[in-house]
Amino acid sequence: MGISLVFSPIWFFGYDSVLDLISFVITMLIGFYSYKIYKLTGKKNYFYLYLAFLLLSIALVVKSFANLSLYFDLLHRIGVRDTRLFGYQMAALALFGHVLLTLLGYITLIALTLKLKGKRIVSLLFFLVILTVLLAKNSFMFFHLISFALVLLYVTPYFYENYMNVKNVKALLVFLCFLFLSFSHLFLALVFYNNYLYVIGIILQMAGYLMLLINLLLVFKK
Amino acid sequence: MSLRRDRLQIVNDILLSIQEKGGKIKPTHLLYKSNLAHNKMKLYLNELIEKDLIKEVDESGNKYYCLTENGIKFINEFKKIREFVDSFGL
Repeated sequence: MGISLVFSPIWFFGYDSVLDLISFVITMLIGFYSYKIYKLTGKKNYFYLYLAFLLLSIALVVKSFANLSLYFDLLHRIGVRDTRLFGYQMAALALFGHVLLTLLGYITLIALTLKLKGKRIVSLLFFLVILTVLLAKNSFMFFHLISFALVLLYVTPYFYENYMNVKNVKALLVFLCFLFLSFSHLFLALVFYNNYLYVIGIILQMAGYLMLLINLLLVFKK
Repeated sequence: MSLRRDRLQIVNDILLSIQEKGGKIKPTHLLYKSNLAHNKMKLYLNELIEKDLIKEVDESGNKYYCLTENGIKFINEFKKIREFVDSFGL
């Protein structure tokens, strides 16, 4: 990828990792509840929902640790700290893993919401998306732009339709989650122009996952 | 959840029918409310008794099916699952 991997303003160092870790916990909770439903009902849909959130949660934790290691590395280089965790290359590898896992998670969601049948079609879709990202001049910008488009055009409309059908708060929260997530990717894609957009992107992502947490809490409230 | 009733939905419907009648129902009422064939319902009832979701009681020579604590827990858990699943539209 060969470009700068630190997108955050210095004052936001570490906060993004904390927010990512919170998002990781939320996606894990959603994933495990979906898995529980799958075990109870035996329906494949819930297994794919579990899989999608599991992939997204691992992607988040990988990114969180990659960012933390980058910040420690950077702080080491500018002499603020003398702790060196993984180094730049390790972090770059982890961020690449984050890209792969996130796209896999989104494509699993797309397969679920568009009711795509056949692993070959889904794997073809995945390879095309990954190739586009890897061959792009600025892979990270493309990753976020493609994620923005995939979530906004193929995942969010499904949850919007579901909200319009059931018209309840919980369905609205799920729809808003994916709307926020898609726009978080748009802001993260534009981070090369202004690193404050990174802060907005991360906060939007957190807000999106918080919607899912509220949804889960509402379900368990009764 | 799909419109076609699956096993869990049928179990939940049976338990709800009992709950709606105050936790105790006569077999004939249950058969009518659950919308199942007699032999199929018998199989479900045996399974629910085996899993301690309902129990059979005899009151003044009349047979009733009663909801157990586990049956109430099942209804509550199923309601949560349904709300979660509906919020995702799956």
